[in-house]
Amino acid sequence: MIPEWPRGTEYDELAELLPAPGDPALNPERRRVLRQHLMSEIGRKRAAAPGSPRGRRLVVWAAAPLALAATVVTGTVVVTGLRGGHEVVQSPGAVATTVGRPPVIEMKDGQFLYERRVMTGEYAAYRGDTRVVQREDWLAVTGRREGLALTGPRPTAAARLDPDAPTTEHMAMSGGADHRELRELPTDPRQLLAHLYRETEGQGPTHEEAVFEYISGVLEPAVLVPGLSEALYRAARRIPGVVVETGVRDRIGRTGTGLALSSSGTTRPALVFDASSFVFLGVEGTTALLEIGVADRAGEPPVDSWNLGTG
Amino acid sequence: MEHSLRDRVRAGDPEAFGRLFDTFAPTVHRHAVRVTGNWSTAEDVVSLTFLEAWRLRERVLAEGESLRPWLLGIATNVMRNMTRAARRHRDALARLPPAAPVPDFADEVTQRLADQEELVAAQRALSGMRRAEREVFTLCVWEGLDTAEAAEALGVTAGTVRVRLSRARKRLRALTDAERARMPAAARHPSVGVPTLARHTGEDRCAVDQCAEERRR
Repeated sequence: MIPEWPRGTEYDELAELLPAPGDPALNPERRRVLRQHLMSEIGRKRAAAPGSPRGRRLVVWAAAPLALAATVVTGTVVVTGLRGGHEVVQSPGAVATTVGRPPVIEMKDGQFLYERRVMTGEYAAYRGDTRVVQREDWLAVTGRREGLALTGPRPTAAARLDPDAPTTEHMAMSGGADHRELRELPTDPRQLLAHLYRETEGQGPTHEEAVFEYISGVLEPAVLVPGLSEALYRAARRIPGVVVETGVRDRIGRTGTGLALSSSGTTRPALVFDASSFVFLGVEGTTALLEIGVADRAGEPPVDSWNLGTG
Repeated sequence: MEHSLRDRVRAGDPEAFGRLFDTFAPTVHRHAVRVTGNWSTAEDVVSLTFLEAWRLRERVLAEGESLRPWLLGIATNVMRNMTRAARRHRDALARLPPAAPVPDFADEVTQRLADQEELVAAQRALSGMRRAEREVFTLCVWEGLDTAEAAEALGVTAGTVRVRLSRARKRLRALTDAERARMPAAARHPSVGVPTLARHTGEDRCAVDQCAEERRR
């Protein structure tokens, strides 16, 4: 047990120095409205949650799949030390894959960022019994409109999921990183890191984990922002405690440089980057980004996209 | 009781969330008004806190006592970055009926006006602290969390909470001393050692405002 703060001393002195201002009460009528609102929102979310019949829509937060992979999973990376951001673990024999640099793809307000990736079933929020799931996302460029995500078993004959297939699940996407916000981020790694530390000030469990998690959450959309992937990679490896590892494989076996941050005694799977262009490839063993581009409408094939290959 | 409430919250039982709201909404609201100094912002904080609680329900530990530290921790996070929280729950907030511009009861208006002056004075003092100190101070001293509970709410160690509290005390002490030094003797609070930063009623209110003017120069 953690010993109690000696009450009657510092607490009392603090309360004397600055007493709590008044006892503001929530108006009973407003309280009823807020409660009713919460209950109806919960009802909505439950109606759309996994386990309900196909065709009903699940509203999820856009960064969910990647954030989930980066935060919830218990790890498999062997880490040799946690002293600084520059430790390199060599995995002999692995040859790095190179996907090259992304082309310039213009994105207009009103369009949708399109992402296609494979991931292990448990990270894809897919209800079907499939070990390898493909997930395709359409996220509004301005972040203000509703987007779409499709998940289903990874197709063998075609690149994309068939939206009408009975195994394909539809989810509405609310939120997502605003593409314009990403374009405003500094691409100098030092400035970027300083910015991210400010942005996450006070967040936990440690400030380092908060910054690392923030980076994990924007790596995919950052691929199409010139210079940002590499800046995020270089910023992430400067975070104290981040371990750099070569020869790390993503879900489809592409090999790149891994960055991992261990937290609370557990090590999470590494984020995998292309060893020469520093484009984000996926999460060690769990996800792999296959294609990223821009689409005119949610659910439609992209009008312009970059194929990162199938490894 | 609390034990099973935790289980039901984790399992996403709507009734448990209704109970959670009934039990803790007033606490979250009071905390938000005191911290932000703004009544309508505080209502948004209440909504966002419970929507976030629903989103994060699986992170509730199976074991533990009151869920108050957990909810106040979520409220703290919401207030750190209202824009992000509001964006995350944009659609839900859009469905929230707006508050009536003027409360229905005249008494409440009077009460709010009285509180408002205390809130403004408290805001001035809080602005002299760093955010981390302010969070620990308001949770521990105003909401009465002990160091272990505040540590749970903020995701830091109890030791960190103590250090931040101690810093908050130093800053407040310095602020109070500075204020006393600038105050004309006649306007000082009659009894020694009684707070000067808030709870000003009656005649000494204008003296304090005058001090605030001086600080701004």
